[in-house]
Amino acid sequence: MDTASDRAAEEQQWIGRIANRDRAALKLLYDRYAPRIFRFVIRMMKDEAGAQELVNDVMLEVWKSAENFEGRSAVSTWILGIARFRTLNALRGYKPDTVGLDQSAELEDLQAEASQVKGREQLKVLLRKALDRLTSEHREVLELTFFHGYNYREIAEILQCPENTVKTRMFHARSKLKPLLERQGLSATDAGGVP
Amino acid sequence: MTERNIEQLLAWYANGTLDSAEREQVEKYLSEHPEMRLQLAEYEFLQETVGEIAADEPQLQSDNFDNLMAQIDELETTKPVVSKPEAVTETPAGKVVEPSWVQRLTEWVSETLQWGVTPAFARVAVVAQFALVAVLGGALLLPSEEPGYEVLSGQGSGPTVTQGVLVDIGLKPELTLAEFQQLLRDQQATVTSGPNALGVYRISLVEDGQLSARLTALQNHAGVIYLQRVQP
Repeated sequence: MDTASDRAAEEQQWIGRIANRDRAALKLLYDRYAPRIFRFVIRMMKDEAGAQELVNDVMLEVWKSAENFEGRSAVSTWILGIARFRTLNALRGYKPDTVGLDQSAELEDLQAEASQVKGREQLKVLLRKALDRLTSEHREVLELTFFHGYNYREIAEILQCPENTVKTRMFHARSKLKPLLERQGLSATDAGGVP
Repeated sequence: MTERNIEQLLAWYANGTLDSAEREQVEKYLSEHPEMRLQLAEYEFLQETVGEIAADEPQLQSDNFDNLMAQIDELETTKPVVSKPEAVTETPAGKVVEPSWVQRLTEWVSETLQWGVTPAFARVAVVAQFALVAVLGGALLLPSEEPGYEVLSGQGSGPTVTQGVLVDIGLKPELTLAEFQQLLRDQQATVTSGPNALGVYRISLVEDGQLSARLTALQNHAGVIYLQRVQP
């Protein structure tokens, strides 16, 4: 399975088998998606045990709903959509885990910390902190794009929002990470080698 | 596509998910606006580092799948999900084979009766009832040598009257069947029809020398309220 379309076809086939209660097919799907779901969920809820449970909730939902899957969206989009819905439900009533980065104090903090960054490890720590400070709407667009590798159409489907909203959120997320990005010396000259 | 629209695609140009037409537009735009390469470099930086951060974060426990299987076992036990029967199956050779009527019947029974979760004693009871109904139903369908009914005056007993005197007779409601039968036997009479809507029987009497006496006896019987000879 090399291409994305091959993978998509393979996953559709697994879903068909899962609809017929094939646990081996569920294992294949689990191995491919559970780590991604976990990553997606834990970034939103910051609770490792809760995230583990949610992964299984999502896969259990896949097990129960596979026979109703009509293939109108990609399996990957469908699964991440379930994961997001479940996570938002789980987070209801919880104290919000994010603080908007547009607050000036937060922005100054990030600028100050960015100026102290010396090595790559420090940079990763700071980026993680910066991502944590983003609102969940902005963070999930970044995660779905740069970690999960979705295109903006798929992200719109997962988030159940217009494509333009996805693009706008990406624009704002990048703006809020700007102090960190600037600190990396990303300039027109530095980026000259970019294809 | 406007410049702003193209700029908004840079993140997905960086992650390599744009279609070929969009990619070409972005590349053309970048060649005309080299300053936009800075923005692209920022997205490429995120593409690189967001993935790296993930490697340092907590990982999914390896026994999580076992927990999932346990949850499914519990689900299947408490609330079984009946699998949707496949309309067709595909053989390894790719030939499509439709399920036989026996398979379809089995699947239908399985779905309708939830057979897979019915306790053993209940299954035995259902099978026994089904067998009883089948036997009784079969017995009803078998051709019978015996008539399905019997006339009040009996079959083959008593004198068979093909020709005789016909009389309409009305009876008191309290007269029992046994008393009526006895009356008929005493007077050698046979019911030929009735009772009609008014409860009147038509009986036939042997036409012999005692006909008058029999008619008198019938008329005088305590259970008889009406007697009328049918005119030929």
